[in-house]
Amino acid sequence: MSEPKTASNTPVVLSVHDLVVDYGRGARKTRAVDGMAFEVREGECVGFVGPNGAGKSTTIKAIMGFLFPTSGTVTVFGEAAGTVASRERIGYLPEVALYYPFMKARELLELYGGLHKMGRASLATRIPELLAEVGLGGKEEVLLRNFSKGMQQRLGIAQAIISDPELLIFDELSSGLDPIGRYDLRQVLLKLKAKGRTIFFSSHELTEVEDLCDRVLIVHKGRCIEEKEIGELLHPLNRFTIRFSLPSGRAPEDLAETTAFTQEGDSRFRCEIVGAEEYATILKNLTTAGATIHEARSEQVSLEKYFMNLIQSRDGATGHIAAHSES
Amino acid sequence: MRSIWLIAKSVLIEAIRRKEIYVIVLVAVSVILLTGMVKFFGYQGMSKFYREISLKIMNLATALAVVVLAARQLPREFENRTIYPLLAKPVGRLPFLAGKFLGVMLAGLFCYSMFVILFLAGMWHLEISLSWVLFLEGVYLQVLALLVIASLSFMLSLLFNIDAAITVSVLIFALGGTVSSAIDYIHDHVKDFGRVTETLSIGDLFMRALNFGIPQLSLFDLSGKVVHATDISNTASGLAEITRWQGVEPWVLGALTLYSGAFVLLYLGLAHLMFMRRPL
Repeated sequence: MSEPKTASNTPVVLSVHDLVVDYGRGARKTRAVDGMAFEVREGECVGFVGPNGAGKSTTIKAIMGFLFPTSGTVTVFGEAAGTVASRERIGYLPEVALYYPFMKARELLELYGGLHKMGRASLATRIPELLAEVGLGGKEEVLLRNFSKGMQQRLGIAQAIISDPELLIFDELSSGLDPIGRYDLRQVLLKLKAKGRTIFFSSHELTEVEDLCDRVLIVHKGRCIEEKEIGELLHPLNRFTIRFSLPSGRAPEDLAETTAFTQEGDSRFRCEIVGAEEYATILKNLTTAGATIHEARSEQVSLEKYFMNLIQSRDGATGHIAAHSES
Repeated sequence: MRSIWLIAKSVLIEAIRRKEIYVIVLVAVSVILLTGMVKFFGYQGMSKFYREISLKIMNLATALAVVVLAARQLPREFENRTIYPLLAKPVGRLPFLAGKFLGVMLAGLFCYSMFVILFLAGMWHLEISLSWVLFLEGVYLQVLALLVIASLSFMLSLLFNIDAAITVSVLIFALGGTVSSAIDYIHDHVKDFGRVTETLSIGDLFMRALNFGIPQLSLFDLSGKVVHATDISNTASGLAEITRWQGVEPWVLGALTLYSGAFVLLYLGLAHLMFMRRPL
């Protein structure tokens, strides 16, 4: 019987080892990436987050072969980064890119698809489908100089996935997209994820990373400082909130002596509880007392708060993990 | 090969849609048309004047178009970041360069062929005769010159900015012969000094290298011969057309093909060396 595929036993698709990238020479030399190391396995969706200047785009450029590492190695599907063989299986969306303004959307996708060795017949069917998928249906014959920034970004996504690549690398995933564009993009990515495609993207939109990714890599000052499964990171805090109403004549203090209750209306109360046992006890007491429970929820750490806390602690600033409520 | 063709096609599409080529052709054609209207030289003078002005303008305007197109290709790719999605596809940097260069040449040939058609239409309209062999040889040599100047402009665009690449390329195209004479003159002086002090022999070598590094594009210009190839002369039986120049010897064409090929390989090779390890 074959072993079920999990992140740890699927093949490594992307591997970055001790990557160092310097810009400039001599006195003007700046180290943009300083010992970056991580792996991405087949079928994973990995978010690459970090503050501006952390080295995200530089690392992605090294993966694509646009930059040459000062030291360290980058391999994609076992091939050295930047080789034609490695790029055959990648779909890439750059952070900022304009597309040839004097070409039509169809011509541009024919060019990119052609470079992926796609035939004319397959391109003829693929291009309208793809444009419809990214919300540009019917724009095949429109010159790109007439495309808005958001439309260009959508076209960028289309060019990245035209050959249905096994690995997708997006630098600043939803940059330039409006909320509808972001929603559409998320649907496209969810489809690709469901098809088992490997997705690696950088983003400043941490809720996007939370929603889409299996794993997150947090980078700071050119290094990967944290690597966590999203489920592990967004663990429930041992904190709970209950909102309830009591029948007339009952006081909440009768239910639990040690818990503080806040009155929110005539007979409406709120309490915040630490500890699962205490939470279970109060819920039981409330039910017994005939209370109407309006809301009972546990609180979780959000990626945003986790990220802020981690970066602040690394920078030496005082910070604390603040809880973010999730229903 | 398909990658090269696809990239070349994108350059050609852009060149055709940008309409800059048409502006160059329109201005040049306007000048040629004005030339055709000048009749006070008489038939013989007018035919020579038309041929001379037309051929000079055709060559210069096409060279200008090719230089501008070649100089823009790579810097614009970097500026607009269009290079990222393109080089993220399975295409090497060498095929990318080759595609860009082929595209520039195709656009140049498109421009030149428009000129040739208009020139021949003018000749036919004005009933001016032409030495076809010399004319076709001149067209061939002009294409070789365009290859050289495009590769030079391409290489310079990686070394300098667009404006500098265009300026230097146009100067070499238009004044290559003069620059070469000046270098010869300086070289002779350096050599004279070199006899006195050994250390200046590096300067001597530098001047030689510079002289050989600049292509002598005047060698590719047959317009003078095409203009004066035929003439009207008084003979015993009256006015008759006489042929002054025959076609160029095949070995000369062969030698010039090799000469231009060497420069194209040199400039494109240098461009590849600069581009191969360039961080994007």
